[in-house]
Amino acid sequence: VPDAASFEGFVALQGEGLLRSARLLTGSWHGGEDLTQETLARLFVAWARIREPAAATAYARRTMVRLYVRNRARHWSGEVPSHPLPDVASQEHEDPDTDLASVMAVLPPRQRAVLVLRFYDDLSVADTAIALRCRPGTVKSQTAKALAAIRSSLATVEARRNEDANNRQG
Amino acid sequence: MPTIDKGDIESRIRRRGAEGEAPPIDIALVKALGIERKQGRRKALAALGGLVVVGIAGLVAAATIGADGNPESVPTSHESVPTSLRPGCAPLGASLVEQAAPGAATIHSLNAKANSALTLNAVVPDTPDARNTMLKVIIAVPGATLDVGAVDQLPAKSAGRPENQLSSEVVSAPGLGFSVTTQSPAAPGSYPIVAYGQYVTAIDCNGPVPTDPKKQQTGIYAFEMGTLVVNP
Repeated sequence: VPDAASFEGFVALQGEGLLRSARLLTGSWHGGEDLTQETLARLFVAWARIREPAAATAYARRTMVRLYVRNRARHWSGEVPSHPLPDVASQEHEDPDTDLASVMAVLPPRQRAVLVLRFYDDLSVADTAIALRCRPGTVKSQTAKALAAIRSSLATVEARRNEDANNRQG
Repeated sequence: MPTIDKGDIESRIRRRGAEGEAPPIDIALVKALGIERKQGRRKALAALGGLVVVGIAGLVAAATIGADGNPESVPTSHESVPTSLRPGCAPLGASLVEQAAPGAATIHSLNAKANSALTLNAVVPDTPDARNTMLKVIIAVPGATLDVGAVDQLPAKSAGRPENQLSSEVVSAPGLGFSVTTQSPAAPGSYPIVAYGQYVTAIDCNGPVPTDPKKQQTGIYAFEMGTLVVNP
């Protein structure tokens, strides 16, 4: 069993969870890896000052969302593929969870962060507010806006898909 | 139109988060980056002692990491690109250094009335696994967006379009510093200093850059290196 009090133990126990959250935030494994590794590197620097494993988890989540929001705000456009993208339809497009990913990708960074912290990381409104350095009321309003945007976009996507299916059958 | 309730969205987010096999985390690499950050912080603190320039307060905020317990302020420098730890795929970055105030951060200022000039050095270091092949530094109009691609296909407000550029200069020697000199732009305001770069890596970033072009892959990036503030 990894020792949660050591940095290595923390990474063994919490690393995958952080990586999955980061992937939800950034929308890709590559982006998630970069974000997680940057977060863990900063945690490593601060490790001597952290006394409890629970505090380390909270610190890592705060660092991760703040890095994500800040980097998005800087308009970092990142690496782009230099090869042409395939224009054939992917099977993934039929997957409702892939729809969710594409809808989340266009949300503003704070709204996306709120959704991941609250619904994936199971943070309370108060803890989410601390992580994002905002008021609980802001978390609630951002959550409501994000859910409304997702609901609307998903409903449109699914209605269109049903319509296409009906047309094919007809 | 079907209605999707909150619970359904929550469960989709959970499923999306749980699906797929997570790649392993290279803890040695994480520690190496952490140590690099610590050393960078020490250098910044050492440099701080000798600095008597405007903007020192901003540098203090960057250098006294962790004193406020705020993780966001943890190691930083005037480099604008977050360092990637993905093995072999570290994105290249460039940093801006003002000749008149070495070590100053990303904000540089000019006086509009003085018709002054500002010389900036953009330093574009290569990494063991990636090599810069081109860098263009642009001082763009306020509100210009960052996009990459063919110039004629960029959005109307893109900093990559010549009509949205106050000045630009292409680096001819990859990996070396160069200067951008800007006469006072037209109006007071904040002008983004944008880097457009092109680099090569091994295919799949799996090692040093090969000499055979067929075994290289090219990438391009655009990011905001800093801001030029023109005071009234």
